[in-house]
Amino acid sequence: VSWQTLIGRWLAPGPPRTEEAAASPRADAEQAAALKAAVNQVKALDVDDARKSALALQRAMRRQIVRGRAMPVSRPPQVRAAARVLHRLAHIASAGRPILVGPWTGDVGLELLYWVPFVRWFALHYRLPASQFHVVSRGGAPWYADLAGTYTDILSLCSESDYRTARARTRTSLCGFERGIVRRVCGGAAERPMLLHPALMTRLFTPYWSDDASIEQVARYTLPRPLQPPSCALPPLPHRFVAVQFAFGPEFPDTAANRAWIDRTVASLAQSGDVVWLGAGLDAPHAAGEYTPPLGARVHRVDQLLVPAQAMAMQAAILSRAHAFVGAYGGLSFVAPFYGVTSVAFYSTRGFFPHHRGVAEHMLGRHDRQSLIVLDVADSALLRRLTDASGNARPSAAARVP
Amino acid sequence: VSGGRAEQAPRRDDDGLADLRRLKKSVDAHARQVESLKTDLKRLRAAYRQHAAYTEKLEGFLPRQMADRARLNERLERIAASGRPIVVGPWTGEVGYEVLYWEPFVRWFVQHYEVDRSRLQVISRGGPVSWYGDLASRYADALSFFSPDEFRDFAATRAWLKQDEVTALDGEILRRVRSAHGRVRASLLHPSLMFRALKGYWGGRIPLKDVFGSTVHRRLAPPALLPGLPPRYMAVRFYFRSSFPDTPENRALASRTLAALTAAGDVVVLNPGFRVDDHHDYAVDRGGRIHTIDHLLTPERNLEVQTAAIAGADAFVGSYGGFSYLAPLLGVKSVAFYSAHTFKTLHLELAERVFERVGGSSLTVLNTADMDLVAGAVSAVAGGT
Repeated sequence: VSWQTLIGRWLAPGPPRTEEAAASPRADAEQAAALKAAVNQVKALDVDDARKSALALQRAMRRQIVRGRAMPVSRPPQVRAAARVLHRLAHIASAGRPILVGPWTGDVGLELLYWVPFVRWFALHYRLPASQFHVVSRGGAPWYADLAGTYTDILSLCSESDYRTARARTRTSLCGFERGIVRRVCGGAAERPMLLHPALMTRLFTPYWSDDASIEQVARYTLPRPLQPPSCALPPLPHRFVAVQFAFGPEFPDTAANRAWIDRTVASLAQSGDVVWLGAGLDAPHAAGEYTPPLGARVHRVDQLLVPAQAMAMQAAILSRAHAFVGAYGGLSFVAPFYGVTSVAFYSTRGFFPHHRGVAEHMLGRHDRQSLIVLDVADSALLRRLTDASGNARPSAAARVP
Repeated sequence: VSGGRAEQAPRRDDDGLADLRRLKKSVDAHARQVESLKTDLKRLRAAYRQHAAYTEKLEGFLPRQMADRARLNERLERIAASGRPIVVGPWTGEVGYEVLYWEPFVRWFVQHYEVDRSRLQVISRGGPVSWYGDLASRYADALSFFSPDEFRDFAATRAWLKQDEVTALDGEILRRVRSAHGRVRASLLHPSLMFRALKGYWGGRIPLKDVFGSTVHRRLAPPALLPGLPPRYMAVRFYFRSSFPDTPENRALASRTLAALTAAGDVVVLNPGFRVDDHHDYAVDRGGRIHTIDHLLTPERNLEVQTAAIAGADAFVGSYGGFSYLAPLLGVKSVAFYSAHTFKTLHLELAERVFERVGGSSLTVLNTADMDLVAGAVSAVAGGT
C-alpha cells in the first residue's frame, strides 16, 4: 500500500469511532501532527528538483565524456622525441665548450633548406658567438662564412670515394664514418667540443616530415637568410648563361628517357644562349658514372675543373652568377633561389617528398627571393604548347632569362 | 489536518492509527532515502565540477587549436547524434575551397560519425551535384532562389569571403529553401564548422595529417559529356582576380595563350556569361576553333556544366583559382597562371598530395613573369599533350 493511499484512507470519512478509540483523541492528534510534519519534511525535500538536477548532471557528464574523448591524450612519439631534442640543444649551448657543427654529409639542398638556417637559429637563440663554432662539411661549403669561426672539410680527411660511399641524404644518428671524422677533427683539440650533429635537426623536424606537425615546426627553429655570392677562383664564364645540373635521384631517376630529356633540354637551351653544365658534383653516388650530355659550342663544362674539396664552393659561385638555373628537383635547385637566381626544377616521378618544396617556398617567400618553379617532365609538352607559337615564347636567351 | 480538527471530528479507528504509524515510518524512510540521494547528487556534482575543472586546465595546457578542435568534435557529434535531417551548407564560397576542403569534410563527417546519407540536404550554388556524389541525393540550389545579380549583391555585403560564420546571405538562403521545401526541424552542418576545423592548417599551425584526419578526398566522377563539343579540345577560363588582376599584360597573356592553343586544336571557353561573385571573365568571342558553352548554362547549373566541359577536355588552362584545382580531381591536367602571389602555397601543397592519393592529374602553377624561362626550359619537347 502506498503512503498516498494510506493518507487517503486516513482522511476519508470512516465508521463511528469506538469508545476506546474515542478515549485517546490526544494520541490520535499527536499521530496526525507527526504525520503532517513528516509529510511536510518530504515535501521540503523537493524530489522533483533532485530529479531535474540528476538529469542535468547526466547530460553534463555525457558532454564531458565527449569532450574528454575528443581531446588528444598523447602526442605522437616523433613529437615527444622532438621535445627531447630541445633539452639536448639547451645542454649543448650551456656547456660553455666549443661546438662542433656537423659533420654534414647530406644533400646540398637539404643543407641549405634546413641545416644552415637551423644552425643560425641555434647560434642566435642561445647567443653563441661564431668563434665557438667549428663547422665540418664538404666541398668547401661556402654558406657557413658568417656562422663559424673555423671550418674543416671532410674531403681533406678522407678520399672522395670514401665520402661518396658513406654520404646519406639525411642522418638520424652518427654513423661510423662520421664518428671517424669527428674523432679526427677533435684529435688535436685542447678542449673536447660538444657535438651539434645533423641527427638532432632531423629528429626536431621529423614531426613535420611525418605530417605530425605543421611547417611551423621548421619555421620556429630555422633562420633562413639570402646568401652572398662566394668568392673563389672561377674558370672563364660567359657573360650571360643558364646554369644546368641534372643529378639523378628518386624524383628524377637515371632512365634512358630522362637522359634523352636532358640531352634535348640542354641542346635547346644552348640554341638561344650559353649553358654552363655544373655536373652532378659531390651529391652523386659515383663520380665516374656521372652523366654528361652531348656538348656543343655554347655548352660549357665546369665539372671537370671541380676539385673535390672546393667543388661545392665553385658550383655555388657559378650558380650565384647565373641568370637562371635549370635542373632536376632537389640539390642545387633549392640553392639557386637563395642567391636570387630563378630555378626551374624538373621531376619525372610523382610522389616525391613534397615537404622540402613547401619549406623552400615558405623560406623564399619570406625574403622575396627569386622563384622556384617545379615542373613535371610529363607536363612539358603541354607547357610548350602554351608557350610556343604564341609570340611570347622562343625569345632570345637574353630576353628569356630574368 | 490539525490537532484541533482531529478533536472536533474524530473519525479514525485503531486500524487507521496503525496505518498512520506505518505510514509515518514509510514517509521517514522515504525521506532518509531522498536525503541520501541528495547527498550523493551533491557529491557527484562536486566530482563533476572537479573533472570539468581538470579538463579545462588540461585544455589550457594544450595548444589552443587542440582545445578548439575538441569542442568542435563535440558539436559535430551532437549534430550526428541528433537523428534529425542535416542541412549541409549552404556553400556560397569559392570553388577551390569547396572541392578541396568542404565536400571532403562533409564526406569525412558522414563516414566518421556513421551518418545516414539520406539525412543530408546539400545546399550549394551553381548545381555542382557531381562534386558531392552520393552525399547529394537531396540537393537544393541557392541560385534557384536568387537571380545572379541578387546573389552577388547579397554576397557583396559579406565582410569576408570565407564562411567562418553564418552570414546574412546564408540565413536568407536557408530561409528561402525552408519556405520552398517545408519547415522541418533540422540540424545545420554549416561551412563555418569546416573553417573552424581547418583554419589551423591555413595558418600554418596544424599539420597535414590533421587535415587528412578531417577530410575524405576522392577523385570526382565526371558528369555526362556535353553535346556539340569537339571530340578533343582544351578547356580554358581566364578570369580576373587578385592573383591575376585585370592588367594589359594579363589580357595579353590570355590572348596569346588562346592563340597558341587554337593554333594547335580546338578550345572550349568556359565563361558562363553572367557573374555571381567579384571575378570577371576575360571575354572571348566564339568562332573558328573557339567554342563557348554559355548557351548551355543556367545559373543554377553553371558549375555542373562547366565541370562536364572540363572533364571532357585534354587539359585545363586558365587563371589560378578553383577551376585549376577542379580539373586534376577530374583526371584532367591543369595549368594555372598568376601574376601576384596573393594565395597561400599551403593549398597547393595539400592539393598535390590529394591528387596523388586519389589518382588525379597534375596542377602546374606558373607565375606569368616566369613564362619566358619556362618556355626556354620546355622548348625542346615535341608538341602535343
